[in-house]
Amino acid sequence: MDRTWLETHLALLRYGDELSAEQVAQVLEHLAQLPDDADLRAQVEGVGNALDALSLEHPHPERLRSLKEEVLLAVQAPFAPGEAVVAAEPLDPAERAQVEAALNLADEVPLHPGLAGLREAVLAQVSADAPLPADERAQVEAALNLAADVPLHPRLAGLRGAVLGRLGPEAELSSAEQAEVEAALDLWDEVPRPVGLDALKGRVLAEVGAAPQGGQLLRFPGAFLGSLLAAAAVALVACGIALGGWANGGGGLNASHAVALKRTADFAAMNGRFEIAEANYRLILETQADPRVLEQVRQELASIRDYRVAQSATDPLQRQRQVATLLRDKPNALVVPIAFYNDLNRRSTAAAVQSQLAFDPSRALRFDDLGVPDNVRDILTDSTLQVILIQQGLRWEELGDLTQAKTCYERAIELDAESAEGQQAKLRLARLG
Amino acid sequence: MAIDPEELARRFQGGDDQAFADLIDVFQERFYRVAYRILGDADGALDVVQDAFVKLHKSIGQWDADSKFSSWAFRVVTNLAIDRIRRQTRERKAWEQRAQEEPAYLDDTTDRGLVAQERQRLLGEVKAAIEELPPGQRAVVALRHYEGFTLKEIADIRGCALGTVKSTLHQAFRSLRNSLGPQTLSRATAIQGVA
Repeated sequence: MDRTWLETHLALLRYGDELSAEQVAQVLEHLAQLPDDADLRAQVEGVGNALDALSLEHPHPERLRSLKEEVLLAVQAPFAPGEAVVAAEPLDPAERAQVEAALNLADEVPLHPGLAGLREAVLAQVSADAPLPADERAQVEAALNLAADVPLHPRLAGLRGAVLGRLGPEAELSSAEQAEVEAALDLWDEVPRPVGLDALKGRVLAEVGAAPQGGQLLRFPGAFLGSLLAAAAVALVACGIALGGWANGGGGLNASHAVALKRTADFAAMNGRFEIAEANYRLILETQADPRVLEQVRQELASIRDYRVAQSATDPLQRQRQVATLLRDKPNALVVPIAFYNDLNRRSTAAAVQSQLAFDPSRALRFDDLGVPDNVRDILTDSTLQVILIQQGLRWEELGDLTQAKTCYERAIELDAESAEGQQAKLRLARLG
Repeated sequence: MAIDPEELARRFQGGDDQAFADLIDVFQERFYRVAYRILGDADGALDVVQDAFVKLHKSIGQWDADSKFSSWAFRVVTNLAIDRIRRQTRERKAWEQRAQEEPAYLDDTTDRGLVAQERQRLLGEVKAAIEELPPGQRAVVALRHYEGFTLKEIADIRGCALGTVKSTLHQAFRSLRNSLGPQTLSRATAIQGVA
């Protein structure tokens, strides 16, 4: 067989003509004898997928596969990083899927001609126990679009891991470089043990109903609720009940204990742990005599009771209307608005927020009209508002009013264009054209 | 004698409430450390741990007794911590606030004091670099580097492929290297040698 015969058969393969398994075997065996030839090498790479597919039909496919490996290694040896592996352009999803299939050794999936040789090159390198040199790893990674900032097609989930799993977890870091990072991380050797951890078990057991709840301290929200607590403190002062002063009204508890009890009750209520809040408030009622304190605590208890009733409505629309009414009619209730806000935060998924607030599209964008008083509106974060706006935009889209929908998205973008929600609003706005 | 978490979990699944209380004893500090490393915020970490235990209590029926309880439990903790970060709008403030609470050694000019100052400064840089990592990478670093889980265990905890854990860890280390820079890294190595 001469070179012409070989080139003819390679061309037949390239154009999809079927060759018998014996002919394929002959092609492969012939190729194995060839010297490194750039022209012929390109032709071989162009038909690698066909060879793969056809080899499956051969009575001895392993032999064929082995031959092909030899051939491709021969024509590519020595492995030249960047020559066969580095793809100049990002792969489209279909090509990525082909790479994935190739790396999963799925021979039945044909390879894009531009990727011919990639699989072999990768496998030849990564199948060896010895890891690749850093520069070659980097190029393999780049070729496979494994960089973290490149979104992967869902079908490629695991591809990055699969390849890097073979390359080693620190593909681009030498052991010395890794040791430096570890030494830096070791600087953070201690985690301070908070006092609150000692009480955690009791709180958990109380919360799950496995222990008595009365008087249990719930939790002390930290910086996340800092602004809310500040707002609550201001409101308390405004009501003439400064935390440091009201406990002097006498009763069975000393001042610091009473203040702690009140704080516990407030925090519990703000976090929706109403049973614990009520238990603490009632304890205050039993032990304090100051009429201002009693009035405030009674108000909180009443608003909590009404809020729980409102929240128990099974119909979402009815529920939110009841809550809105409560918030409007009980302006002196201090903890319930914050509980409401926190509940919104907990239900941060778009669907949950939608069920909570976005009920009447015709009233979109006018939050005050929802019956939410200013103090609640003021403590809603931009992020929460953005989610609400996006949900409202979607509702307008469903109703076919794209102008209103755009207004919603634009306002969400105005609040914070760079946040995740802002980006989402941008995408939706762009989709509307 | 070491307490077997799986045995405790099985007992709790069978209705033994005391076993749940014992599970809290076994896991609360580790849960807290992981949550704290991810969040950088003590109060937030406490909340996460509490929510995690409550969730475990409610969902114990979903635990497959043939699987490792700790993997399932740490998955709940890391997911809650990651969710919290994503919700949290004041994260940076929390870190900054906590950083300010770190002890300072400004008045100590002895050799030991200077080393402590340098260490404190570097620690601030390390924490800032960790803060820049995406939540998922923070979780993997916390589980691997600080809690000593194997990569396979982390894959179980995170519910992903082993390779994904490796690549996530790799990306995290690469990001940390880039954030910290060669000078900080070499100083960190040197000061660890002093210590």
